[in-house]
Amino acid sequence: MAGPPLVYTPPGYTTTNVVYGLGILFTAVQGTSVPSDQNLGVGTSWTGLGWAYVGATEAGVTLTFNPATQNIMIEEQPTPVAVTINTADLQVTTSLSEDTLANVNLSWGNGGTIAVTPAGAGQPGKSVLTLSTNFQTMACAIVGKNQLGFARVLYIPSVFSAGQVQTAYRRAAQQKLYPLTLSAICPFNQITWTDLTAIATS
Amino acid sequence: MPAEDSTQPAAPGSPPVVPVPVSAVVPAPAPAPGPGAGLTAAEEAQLAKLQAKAASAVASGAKVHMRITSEHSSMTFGGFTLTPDFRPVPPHLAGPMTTAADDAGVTIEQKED
Repeated sequence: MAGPPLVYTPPGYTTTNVVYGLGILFTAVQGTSVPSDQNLGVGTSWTGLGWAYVGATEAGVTLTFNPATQNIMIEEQPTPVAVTINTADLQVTTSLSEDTLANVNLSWGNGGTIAVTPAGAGQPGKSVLTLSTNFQTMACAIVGKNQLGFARVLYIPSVFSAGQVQTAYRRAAQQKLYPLTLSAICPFNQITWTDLTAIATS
Repeated sequence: MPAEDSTQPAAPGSPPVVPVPVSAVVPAPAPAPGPGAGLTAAEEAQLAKLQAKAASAVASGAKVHMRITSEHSSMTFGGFTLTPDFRPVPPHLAGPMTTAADDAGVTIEQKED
């Protein structure tokens, strides 16, 4: 009997699509412009527009997308007839390694005020972080590198910093760390991934 | 993503700068203080006027410019930094900025476009 040969031929895969590398986390006041397309991968283009780079981290940046589903069931069928999305959490987490007041404030809700007093006669220069629970929403962006070596940017226009923060003061075991949890609080259709794929033709 | 745009230059013919002491624009605790609570009738009237002006500015989206007038060289709140030079403040930060400045002991001044 004629028929197809019983060979095992899985489709090919692309090893160059396996991408690894750091994500650069920026935060800014809501509504801050992002760099033009060709400058999405240029750090100074972000900072020049008012974005703040969080700096060194303990173990990079982690994205967590966690939808909670609701099964719609009927008695006549053991599997759901539909699945709806009850909640969908998107979080950016990291542990900030740079011990700055800006990072302390960011991880503690972004509700504090940092007032800088310059040095003067009889007055040492100082920065004072005054805390508050008036947490401020902000925008955030994670700039990574895609399989072509160009920038890939996740842009979330509105996030809230409200994670648990625990910082250990150790003699020598480790640096002081400030865990940061940014939770998206905007509609999903305002969140974008932008992937640069080719150089402009002119 | 919002597109990159140019900075907004100060509009010509801007209204004159009106110094606004932070302590005067911070909402007073309830109940509203009367003359016996430390504010004179004139101060109460001025406070109400400034509060209405701030609320109107936020609601209308009018640009509020702020600067530091105390000895501080900068003040950062909500990711936005004020300096001794006037800067346009994002509308949603204009109100909280005055409260934050008051909490931090920083004196600021504001004007509107």
